[in-house]
Amino acid sequence: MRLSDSAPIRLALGLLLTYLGGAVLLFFFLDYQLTSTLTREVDRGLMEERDLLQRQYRDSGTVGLHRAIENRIESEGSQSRGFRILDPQKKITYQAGGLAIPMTEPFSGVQQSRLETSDGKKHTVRVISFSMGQEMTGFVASSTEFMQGLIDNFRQTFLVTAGVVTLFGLALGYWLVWRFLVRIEAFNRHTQLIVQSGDLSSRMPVVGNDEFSVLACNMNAMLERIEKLVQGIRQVSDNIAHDLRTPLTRLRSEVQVALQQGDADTHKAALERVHGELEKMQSIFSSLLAISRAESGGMPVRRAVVDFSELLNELLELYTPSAEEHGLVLHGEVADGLLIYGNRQLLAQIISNLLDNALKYVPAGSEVRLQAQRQESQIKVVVEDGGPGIPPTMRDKVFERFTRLDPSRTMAGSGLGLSLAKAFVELHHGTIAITKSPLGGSAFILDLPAA
Amino acid sequence: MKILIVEDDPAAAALLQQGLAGFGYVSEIARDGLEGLEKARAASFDLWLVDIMLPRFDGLSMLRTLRGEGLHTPALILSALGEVDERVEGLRAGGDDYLVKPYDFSELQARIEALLRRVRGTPGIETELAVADLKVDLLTRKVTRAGQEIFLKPREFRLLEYLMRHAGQVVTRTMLLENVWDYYFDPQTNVVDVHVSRLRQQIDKYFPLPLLHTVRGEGYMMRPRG
Repeated sequence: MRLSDSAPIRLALGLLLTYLGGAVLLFFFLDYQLTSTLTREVDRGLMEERDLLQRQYRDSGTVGLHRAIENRIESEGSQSRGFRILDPQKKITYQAGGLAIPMTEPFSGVQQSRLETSDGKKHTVRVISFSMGQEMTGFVASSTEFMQGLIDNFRQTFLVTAGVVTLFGLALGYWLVWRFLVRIEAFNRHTQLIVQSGDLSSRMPVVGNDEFSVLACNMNAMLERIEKLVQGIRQVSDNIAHDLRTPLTRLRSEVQVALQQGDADTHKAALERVHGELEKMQSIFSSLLAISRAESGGMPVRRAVVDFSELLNELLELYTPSAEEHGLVLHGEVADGLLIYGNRQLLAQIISNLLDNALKYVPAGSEVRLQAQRQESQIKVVVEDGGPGIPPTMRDKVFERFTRLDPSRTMAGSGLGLSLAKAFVELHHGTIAITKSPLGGSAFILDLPAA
Repeated sequence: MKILIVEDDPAAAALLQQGLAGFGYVSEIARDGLEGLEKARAASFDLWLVDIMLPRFDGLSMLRTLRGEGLHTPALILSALGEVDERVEGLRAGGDDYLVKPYDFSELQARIEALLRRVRGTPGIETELAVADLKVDLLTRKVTRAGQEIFLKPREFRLLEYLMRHAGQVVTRTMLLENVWDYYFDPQTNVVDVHVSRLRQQIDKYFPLPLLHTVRGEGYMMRPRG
């Protein structure tokens, strides 16, 4: 990357150029103002002097005039002043001061001229002419050396100050840009590292609490989400490897054996087993897909306000005959008017999975209870039973895919029902947990936000 | 009966055609949405079987177009997209039923029968359903068998009504869950079977001729035969 491509450096250079342009404009403006003000001041002094000399000449004649001129020279210094009086024939009748005035003709206003003084220095002078009786002409010159000194002084001060400020600005700008770039470089290095290593568990360093640390926090949150998603995908592919390969192997040998045996009845029986196996695999496949899509947020969900009380009562009604067949007593205590903003099908499937679980694992003669009530802004649903329960160490694990408490896996079920329930609960911004039920078995506790 | 199959996978389409022929349906195959559109416009079919993900023109757009043109042939959507919302989308686009791939052929057949029955069904509003001596009065919601009144709970009534409306046809568990309970997922336990067997107790137990039969591996059927 070229230095000029770097955004902060471009920004700093742009600001510096703007500043310099401003400083140059300001310099010329002030210089002009100062020069013209000082020149006006010198000219005003000259005019006052002319008025004074004219008055002296009128009052006390040539002698008075000469005395006045000498006084002026004495008080102002000879080198900064020049006086010249001409008679009507333009002959110099009197000359004083260090400035030799070159003019012989009268003029109006103030004229500027450059001349050499008796001590050999070149001076810029301002000259004014005036007339006296008998057509005598007088000239007064004033050196602008003092004024030039001031202007030079101003210029010097300005340039030095501007130079110092520019240098300081450059240094400060460089420092700020450097600090900025260092932070950005840190992000770049870190993201590159993640890209190269694929290590999504890595996190950005968070320093202080400026915009950079907010950015770092956001990037970390993003990394965490991505990590979770990738983990999910990894887990699914592991699951597929483990839990779909086994039935696939069974299918394959079933088909092979059937192919080798010629009997039509054996074929039919084999095909029926294959069909059953395929159905199971399909259900595993659909559940896995639904779980990962729900977890990744890739499932489009149409939501509406669902009468959850009605839904629970319908499900109780759907499951009661089955429960009775299984020798279970299904009790429902559902408060009226529970509303949830969500998807009726997914909500039904959550409860249905929990009730299916009870039917499958709770021994005959036990009680299964479904309670639902509102607790502040939440709807709390408890599905509990008097079954064998779930040991505390397994209570989190049963929500993972393919977890089954029965190690021999002889019982029906894929081990996906609770994972699916959890994924759908979380899709509704709820939580699900297991505790021990006062009935003796496990209690599934759902917290869902009420509509 | 003539059926239009709109399916881009040649093997699946051929199997479908073969299977349908086994049930006495003649069918024609369209390989994508545009071909489906042309064929559906050109000839009259009794049913369209439409896959959603098709090249050139997807199944839902095809259905929407045909419905927009005023064609009301019943359409059964066959799709690999099984989520609840996609089903809703399919029905909104003009599908009459939605079946998720992979499906059992018996399930497909049952749904085709149900759709064709719906179209062939007597126009106007039915007020009474009858299978043999079992009668259901839809207005008074009174159920009688051989003149004897049978008292059913509301859900049992809906279950019976659905089975009676499809008398002589196989009705699958999934169809019952969808149409009687409005659930579009399959519970992992046999909840529906228990409801059906309870209903059977009520309508068949004390009578010599059983009406509600189990079709092994497929579902149930109401018919006045043993």
